Amino acid sequence: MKDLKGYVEELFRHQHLTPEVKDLKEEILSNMIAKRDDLIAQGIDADFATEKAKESLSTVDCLIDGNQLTDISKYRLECTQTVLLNCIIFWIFSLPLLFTHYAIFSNLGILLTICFGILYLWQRKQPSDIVAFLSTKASELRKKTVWFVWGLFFAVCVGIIAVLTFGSDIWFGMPLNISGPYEMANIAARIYLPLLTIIIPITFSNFTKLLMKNRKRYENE
Amino acid sequence: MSKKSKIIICLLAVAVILFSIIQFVVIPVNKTKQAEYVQNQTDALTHDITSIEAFQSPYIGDANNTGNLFWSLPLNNVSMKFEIDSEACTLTVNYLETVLNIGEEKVQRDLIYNSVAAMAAIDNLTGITYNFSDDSYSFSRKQIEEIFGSPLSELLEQERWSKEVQGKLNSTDFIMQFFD
Repeated sequence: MKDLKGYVEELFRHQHLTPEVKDLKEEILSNMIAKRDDLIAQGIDADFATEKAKESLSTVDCLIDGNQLTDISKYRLECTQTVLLNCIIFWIFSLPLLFTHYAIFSNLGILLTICFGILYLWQRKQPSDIVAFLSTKASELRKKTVWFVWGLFFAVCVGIIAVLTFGSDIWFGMPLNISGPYEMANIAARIYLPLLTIIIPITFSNFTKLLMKNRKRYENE
Repeated sequence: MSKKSKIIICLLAVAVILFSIIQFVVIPVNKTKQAEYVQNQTDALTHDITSIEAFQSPYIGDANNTGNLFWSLPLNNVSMKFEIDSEACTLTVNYLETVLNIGEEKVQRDLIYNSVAAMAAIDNLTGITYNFSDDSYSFSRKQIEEIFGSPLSELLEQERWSKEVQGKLNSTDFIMQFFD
């Protein structure tokens, strides 16, 4: 009994214990105990019966709701390709910043494009055929969390920028002095820059879609 | 080749072309124009008077405004220090350079330009003295108004300024009447 309980604990070691997973765990344990008891009743030795019961289930990944068998190597390669594509989009949209004080962010776009370009080319040449279970629920949760954090970040950034730029005009009656198009562009860039980071939650959303796309059929299905 | 790879190659080409145009054509052209504008602002014959609009003031007492005004007028490439007499409403500009080095003709032309511009921009400025390491010049509002008319502030309209002030400074005879 203790042996089987330890074995089931080990099987669920990496699983997030939601109420459904806890129920599943208890069900598996009771099934294994029943199987072992059945084998003992047939006259089989207790230790051998325990080993037989263990052999009946070697992994629980396929039983967890939301887990899917995924072609990991293809999924990773497509994720890197997506990051590369989004880096290029970021670079293109950051090009107007070259005319402002914030040109460094456009140069960051070039740097990211080069880095992910090299990584993608390197990954493409790696022969691998890894297949494993990945959680679609976790991916969905990650996507929602990233969107929430980004929304918060954007709201705070725009709020601070608005206060710093227009605050003196609103509260102290000191008119905003924009001396020319260059100054105007710098003010616009302060708001445009946090907006550009929207590429981050978009990338995470793409990862979730790619995970669904790279689903492999499980042999027991 | 997948559709996504084709999109990546196309976007990469667009990014590289746009980046090259901005970095190697547009920005250098803008910089050249900017440098040309800054150079033009150091001479009375090419100066853009609209650049001093922000420094118009009824009083000479605002040292910051007065300083910014002169840093926007011809001879702004020469180091200078200011002394303001708020009671007499006069200003002394000490240029840390010699007339000989700058050129007498240019100095005289630029000083007339600066005096008219300063008196037009600052309503209660009654006189200006310019000190160089080897010479000095003085202008009074009365002297300027006798030649350019009154009120001087009306001259700051760009077309009128070009015609009635800047254009006349091409003539040596016109300049010399201030120094006789």
